[in-house]
Amino acid sequence: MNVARHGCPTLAASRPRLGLRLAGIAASAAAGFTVLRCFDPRIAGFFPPCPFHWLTGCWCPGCGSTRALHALAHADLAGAWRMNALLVCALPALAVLLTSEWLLPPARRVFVPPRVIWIFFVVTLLFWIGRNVPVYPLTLLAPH
Amino acid sequence: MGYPGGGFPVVPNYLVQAILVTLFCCMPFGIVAIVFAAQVNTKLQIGDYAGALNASKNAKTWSWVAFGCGLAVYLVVFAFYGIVIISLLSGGFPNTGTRP
Repeated sequence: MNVARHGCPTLAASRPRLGLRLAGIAASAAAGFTVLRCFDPRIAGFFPPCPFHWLTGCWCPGCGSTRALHALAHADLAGAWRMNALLVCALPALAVLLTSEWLLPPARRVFVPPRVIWIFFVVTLLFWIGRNVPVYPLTLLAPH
Repeated sequence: MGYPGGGFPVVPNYLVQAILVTLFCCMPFGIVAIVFAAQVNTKLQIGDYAGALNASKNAKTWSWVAFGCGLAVYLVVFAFYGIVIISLLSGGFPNTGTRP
């Protein structure tokens, strides 16, 4: 917990590893981007299917996320939105949080107000229910 | 919040992990992890440090459960494709195609 009370020494201590960490993140991002750009999840067999969809036939909140990333890797925002709108909304927030977690010492990380997390939770639940309702405007939430 | 040196004590809420497993392992367990992540920050904000630590532990556990289930499914699928590939390579399915 000392880390929280004395932010500066931690930052100084983590400096030397920052470059290594950045290189690792850049390499992983490049590898992920390449795989997602080159392989269409609808065709390539090695992307995992959604166990929830496989078991129940219903869409889960994450269904279509790999196809959405594939679309994004081709700069197709509309296509990504059709596959999983929640993912498209969550990605910028995830990017900020990941940057905060990977690059900042614990004491300086982004503190997400609990209300925001609860709202995200409710939105996720509504999205989950909504995309399984076979009524027109809601069917747009399912991958299509 | 009255902690020595000021500021919040650091309690990881595993929110990023929870969101990632919810959206990429397609696991309803990830949503449980999101609930605990929210609890961590709620409890930190009211100064309930012990409660926050407990919620943090739960968020971590459920993120791992979701990740583990996702990984298990992936391995099963991988094994299935492995069996198909091996059977193709070892000359299985002899009635398909013509041999020279």
